[in-house]
Amino acid sequence: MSDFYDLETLALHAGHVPDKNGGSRAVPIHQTTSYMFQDSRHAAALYNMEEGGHLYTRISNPTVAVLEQRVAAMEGGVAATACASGMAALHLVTTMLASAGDHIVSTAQLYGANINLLKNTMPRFGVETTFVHGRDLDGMKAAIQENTKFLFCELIGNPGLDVLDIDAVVKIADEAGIPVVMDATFCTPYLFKPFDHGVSVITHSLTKWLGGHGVAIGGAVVDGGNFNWGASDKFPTLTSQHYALDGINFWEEFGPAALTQRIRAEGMYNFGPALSPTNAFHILQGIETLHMRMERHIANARAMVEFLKNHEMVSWVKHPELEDHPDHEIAKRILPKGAGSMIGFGVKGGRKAGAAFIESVELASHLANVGDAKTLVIHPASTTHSHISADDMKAGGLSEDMIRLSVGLESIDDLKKDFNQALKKASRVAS
Amino acid sequence: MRFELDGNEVYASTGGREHKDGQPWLIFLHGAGSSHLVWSQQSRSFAYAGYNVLALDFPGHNLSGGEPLKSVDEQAAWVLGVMNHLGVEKATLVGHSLGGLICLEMEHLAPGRIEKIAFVATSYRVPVGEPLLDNADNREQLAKNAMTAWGLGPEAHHFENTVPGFSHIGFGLRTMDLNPEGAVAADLHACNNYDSGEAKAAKVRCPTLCVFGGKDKMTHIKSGMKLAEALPDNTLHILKESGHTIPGERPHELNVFLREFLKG
Repeated sequence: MSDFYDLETLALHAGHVPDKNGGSRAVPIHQTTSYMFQDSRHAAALYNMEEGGHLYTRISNPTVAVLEQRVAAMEGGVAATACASGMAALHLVTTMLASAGDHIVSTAQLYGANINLLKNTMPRFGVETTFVHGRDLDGMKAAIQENTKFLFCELIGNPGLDVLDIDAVVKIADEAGIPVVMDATFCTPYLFKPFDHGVSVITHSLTKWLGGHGVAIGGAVVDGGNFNWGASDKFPTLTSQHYALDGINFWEEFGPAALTQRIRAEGMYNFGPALSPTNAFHILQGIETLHMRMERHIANARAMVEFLKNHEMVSWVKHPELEDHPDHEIAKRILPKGAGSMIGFGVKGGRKAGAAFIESVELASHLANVGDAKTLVIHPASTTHSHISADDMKAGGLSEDMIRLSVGLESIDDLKKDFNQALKKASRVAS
Repeated sequence: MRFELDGNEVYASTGGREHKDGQPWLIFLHGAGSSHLVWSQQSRSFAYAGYNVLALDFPGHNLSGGEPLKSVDEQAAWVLGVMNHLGVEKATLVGHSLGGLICLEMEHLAPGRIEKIAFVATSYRVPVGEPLLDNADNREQLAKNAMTAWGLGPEAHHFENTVPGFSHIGFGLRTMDLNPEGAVAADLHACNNYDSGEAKAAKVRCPTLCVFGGKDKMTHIKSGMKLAEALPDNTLHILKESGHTIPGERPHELNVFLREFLKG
C-alpha cells in the first residue's frame, strides 16, 4: 500500500480542505483581482517572495492554486502553474529556460501550434529548434548542441498518434545533461505518469481530457523537481541572479521548485497568461471524474477501432493498440491502461468523401477540440494543421484524407449508428 | 553564500541579503535528510526583517560538500566552527527536529554565545524506529517516502499549501533527493544515538521557544512536551493541525511566533 493517496482520491481532494470560515465543501470561486494585505510588511513580503500568498490574480489566485496543487499532486510533481491554455504553458517553459542564441530539440510529431511556436515564432526571438522524428533516436542525439536547453516531445503525437519510446529519449537527454519537457495532454496522469519515467517538466492543455467538458480553456506547467539545474551553467535563468527581487537565485532559494518560482516571478508577471478563477473551477469539476471518464473513453475508443477496422467504407485505421501500428509494442509497454481515445482513419474516396462524412455525422461534433466528453471529428489537413507545411504534415504522420476522431462517452451503439449512416452518405460521394 | 570550512565547501542561504554589521544573527538548522530548503518560507522573510540569516546545509547535504556528520556532537561542533569562521560572536538558533537536538548541544558547547533558541517539532530525545533505520541504511527511497508521509500532517496530504501551486510531498521528496546518498541514514542514526539531551535541556540558560505540531507523527507532541517542560525559560505554541514539517506546513504562524520571540 502506498504511503500517499491514490490518483482517484487526489482527483477529488488534492489542493483543498473545506473552507474554515464558510464551511464550503466545494472549491469556492475566488472571483477577485486582488487581495487585502495585512500590513505594509505583509505587502512587501509577498512582492519579494519571502512567503507564500496571493497578491494579484495575474500572478496567482486561491481557486487557481487549488487546481495547480491538484494537478501537481496527480502528476507527482513538486509544483504546478496553471495558465490560460496549453500553448501558454509551452511558451512559459520555453521562455523561462531558453534565451536568444539557445536551441531546442523536438520530436516532429506534435500538435500544429506547438510546431508553429517552436518553428516560426521562437526563431524571431533567437531560439532555434531542430525537429527530429520520434523514432530517430540517433538523429535526436546528434541534434543536441552545446546550447540546447531541453528536449521537447509529446508522448502520443497529435494527430498522427505515434507513441514515443520515452525511456530511450530520457536516456539521451540525461547523457546530454538537459531535461525532457513533455506535452502530456493526450495521456493525462490516468494513462501515464511522465515523472516516473524521468521526464522533468510537463505541459498540459487542461481544456482536453482533464477538464473534459468543453467549457473552459486552460493549461498548466508541472514541475517535476527532479532535474538538477545547478549541475551545469546551462540554465542561468534559474541559477544566476534574477533581474528583480534583489537578485534572487531561484535554484538556491527554492531548489527543486526553481522553475516554478521563475515562471511565477517572470512568466506570469511579465507575460500575464493568467487562468481565470471561474475557468479553474470548471476544470476542477472535470478533474474530479477524470479516472471514471478515462475508463469509458478507452472502452469506447477500443470499440470504435474495431468498428472502423471492419467497415467497408474505411480505407485505414490508426491507433497504437492495433498490431499494425509502428509503435504498437512501445504502447503496450508504457500505456498498459490504454493508448488514448484518439483514432485516425481514412474514408474511401479521398478528401471529398472525408468531407461528406464529417458533414453527415449527427451525433459526433465537427469542431476544433479533443478530449471532450462528447465525440468529436475533424479533418486536420484543412483545419488544425492547415498552417503547417506539407512536409511538416508528412513528418507529423498526417495524410490528406485523415479524419481525427476523439471518442467520447456516448452509448457505443449510438456512436456506431451515427458513423455508419455518415459513412454511407460518404460512399455516395465516393462513387 | 559559499565558503570553505575544514577543506569542504559550505553553503548557507542568507535569505537573499548580504549580512550587515550590527544586525543580529539568526541561524536555521535543518532536520534529518533535509537542507536549507526547509526554511524557504523563513530565511528570506527574516533576512528582509533585519537579521543576518544563515540557513545552513550541513556537510554532505544539498549544496554543501564533504561527508555527512555522524553525531549530534559533531554537528554542533561544526555549526560552532561556522560561527567562528564567519566571526559570529552571538546568534539565535532555530532548529527543526534533528536541528533542535543540535541547538541543545550548541548551548552546552558554547555557553553565552547562544542568545535564544527556537525548537521546532523536536524534543530532547528523538529515537528512530529500527525499521526506518534499516530502510535508511539499505533502502533509502523507502525511508524517504516514509519520512515524507509521516512528516506531513493531514492537510499537507490533501495538498493544501500557502505557496500557490506547491506540493508538500513533492517538495519534501525532491529536497531529500538533492542530498547525496547516505545523508538520511547518517542523520537518523545521529538522532537515534543522541541521549544526553534531557540533562542539557534543564541547563539551558537562554530564553527558548517551542513550536510543536498537534498531528506530528515523527516527533509526537507528548515527546515535545517533555522538552518544553524541561526548559527553564520557555514559551510554548502548539499548532493543532500541523504535522512535523511546520516550517512549510504552517509558515505564517511559525513566522509570527518567531518574530514575537525575537522581539521579546
